Amino acid sequence: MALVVRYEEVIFRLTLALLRHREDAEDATQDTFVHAFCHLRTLRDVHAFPFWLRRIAIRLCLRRRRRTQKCPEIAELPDEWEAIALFPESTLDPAAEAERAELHRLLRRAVAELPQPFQVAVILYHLDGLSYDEIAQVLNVPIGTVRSRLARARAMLRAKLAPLLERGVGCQSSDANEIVSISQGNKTTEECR
Amino acid sequence: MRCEQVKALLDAYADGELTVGETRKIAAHLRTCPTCQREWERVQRLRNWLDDAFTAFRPKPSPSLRQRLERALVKARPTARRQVTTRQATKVALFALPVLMLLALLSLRFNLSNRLPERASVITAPIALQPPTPKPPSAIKPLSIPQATTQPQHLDIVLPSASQTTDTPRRTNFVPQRPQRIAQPRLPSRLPVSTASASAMLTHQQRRPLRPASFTPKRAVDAPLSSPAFIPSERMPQSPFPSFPTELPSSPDEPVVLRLMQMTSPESASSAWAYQVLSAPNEATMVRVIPQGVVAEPVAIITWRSAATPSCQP
Repeated sequence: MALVVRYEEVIFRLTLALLRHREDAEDATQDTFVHAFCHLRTLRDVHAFPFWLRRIAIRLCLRRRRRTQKCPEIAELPDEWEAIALFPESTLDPAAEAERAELHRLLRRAVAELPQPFQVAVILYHLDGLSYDEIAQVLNVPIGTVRSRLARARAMLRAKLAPLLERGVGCQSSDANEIVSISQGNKTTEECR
Repeated sequence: MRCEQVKALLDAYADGELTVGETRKIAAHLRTCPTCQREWERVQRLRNWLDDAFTAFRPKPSPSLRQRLERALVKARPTARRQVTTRQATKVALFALPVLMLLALLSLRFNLSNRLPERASVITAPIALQPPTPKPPSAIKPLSIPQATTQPQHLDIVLPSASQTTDTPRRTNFVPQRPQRIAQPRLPSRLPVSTASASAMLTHQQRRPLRPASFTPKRAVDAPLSSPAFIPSERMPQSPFPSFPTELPSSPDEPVVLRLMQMTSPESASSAWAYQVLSAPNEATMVRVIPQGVVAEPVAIITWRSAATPSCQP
């Protein structure tokens, strides 16, 4: 149970970022630990346990996502990942706090819309704080692949968030409306400018 | 470095994942290239946003998840043990299988090497312990045809020489299983072999009485040579004498006179032996028609008496 206590939150955060639903993330977390417990003998390097556990979680989440995509009723559930308040204890200005929350929600949606390999790479780097080498161990790919995946993922995000990046939004409350409009996808780049 | 190369490495440069040489090159390029400088600012901004967004993302699992995990792990413990046991059993089986096969082969070979003499003794013991059956002294006895036998009987009949009289009892040799050929008397020069032995296979079912009680044998000379009463032989030319006619009774009440004929066909240049029954009353049964173009030459006259001792009169 010590391993569960230690990695429960990490795995839940990863599964929630991939599945975007709390119940699915909890189920996937449970399946991850059960699977790891049943196949613990197959782990050769004890020091690779965190990466091995994340690999199991990613595999189970992707399998669950493929199964969920075939069921539209489940796919249309509200996105809890975007609805989670990021700064509940924040003492900033309410307007600025709302703007940043909206920016973060927009970022998470943009990440969620990335192709699966790039999405996993971005989540592992920015959410779990893993290095390129650790991501390569988790995904069992060369480190050059991790580098290219992250670069392409960020390039896609920059292309998608180009208006915000050009104006440097996120620090000014006046741009909140534009952020919302971009997140809704109703405005082009020229309109944002 | 070109701007495209620098832009491709800007993310890794921002993450600090480049080598020292690449880092220096990119830093030098950024100091001189305003386009790449602007791109670098965008890369940094997005990276800071992502870090800010995901670092702040620290959702807490529900308290019930810990309890669910504990129950699930306790429930999965037998499965884990069983899987470990299965894996270990597989490894053991993989190692034990060749050993068991080797042991099986060795034991099989050992058993075979041990059992072979036993089997051989079992097989050979009755043969080795069985004493050779001595030939009874009564094996040589006067010819007497069995009255009721179901097995075929081979009869070797030694015919007398030409100098001997017809009424003298002849020496016969009765061998139940295997006929013996005994070199003996001279016969007329027409016989191809000096030994006159005739083998007759008489079956009990084939015997039937032929003649009535009022049968009177005829003399051999009375039967004309052209008489069609011939019984063709079935065992020529292996034996100089053909087998006796199976239609003859086993123990005739009255003598039966037979004439041994050599039948030759000029067309086919083949020869055969046949008996001409001179004293058979029922010619309907005994008569065999001599085919045309077949030359029949008399060789000997055989008289079959009641004592089951046929005599030969050339």
